[in-house]
Amino acid sequence: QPIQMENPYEEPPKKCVLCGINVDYKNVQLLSQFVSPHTGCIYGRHITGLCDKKQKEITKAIKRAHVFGFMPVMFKNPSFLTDPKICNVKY
Amino acid sequence: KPETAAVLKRTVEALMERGAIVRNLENLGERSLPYKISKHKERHRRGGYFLIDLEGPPSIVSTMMDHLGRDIDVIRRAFIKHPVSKTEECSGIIPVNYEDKLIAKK
Repeated sequence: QPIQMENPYEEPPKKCVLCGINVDYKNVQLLSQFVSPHTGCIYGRHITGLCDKKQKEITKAIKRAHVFGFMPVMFKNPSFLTDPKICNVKY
Repeated sequence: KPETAAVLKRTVEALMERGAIVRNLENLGERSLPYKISKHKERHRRGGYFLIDLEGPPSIVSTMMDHLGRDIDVIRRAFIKHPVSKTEECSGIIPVNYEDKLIAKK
């Protein structure tokens, strides 16, 4: 008779890139990694691959940074152009 | 530099006057602004960023925004809730069953 038990080979749930990192409107470098370098628009969930919570937090933080004068709106800060690629963007 | 010190002193005094407790004052550095901001008939390119940790009654907010708006040396003002950071419970991406969701709604 088979014993009922939870899957012993179950992998832990996949974590997104920001799982565990605190998102702040002040660290412009982190926020600029999710922004397009040409237009400055925020990448959607299908490009960044983040969980709901983190995506929402990032958008809110980016909007805040725009308003408070921390991050440029129409483009990406040129000093952050050589950052490693996180989102799977196809230019 | 003495001007920035005077501005900070003014703002902190105004805050204390309305009954707010200042916990901490951080200088986030002086850098060139991301875009040119025109305020008080002047186009600004460089600015200093300061962060003040506050504790006080919420009725201060509107009066302080008014007060800071009249100050010529203040380019942009903002009040934010104190960010309570709690990211240790972040479980991974739980696969959502969209079929069940759709059927349940119907």
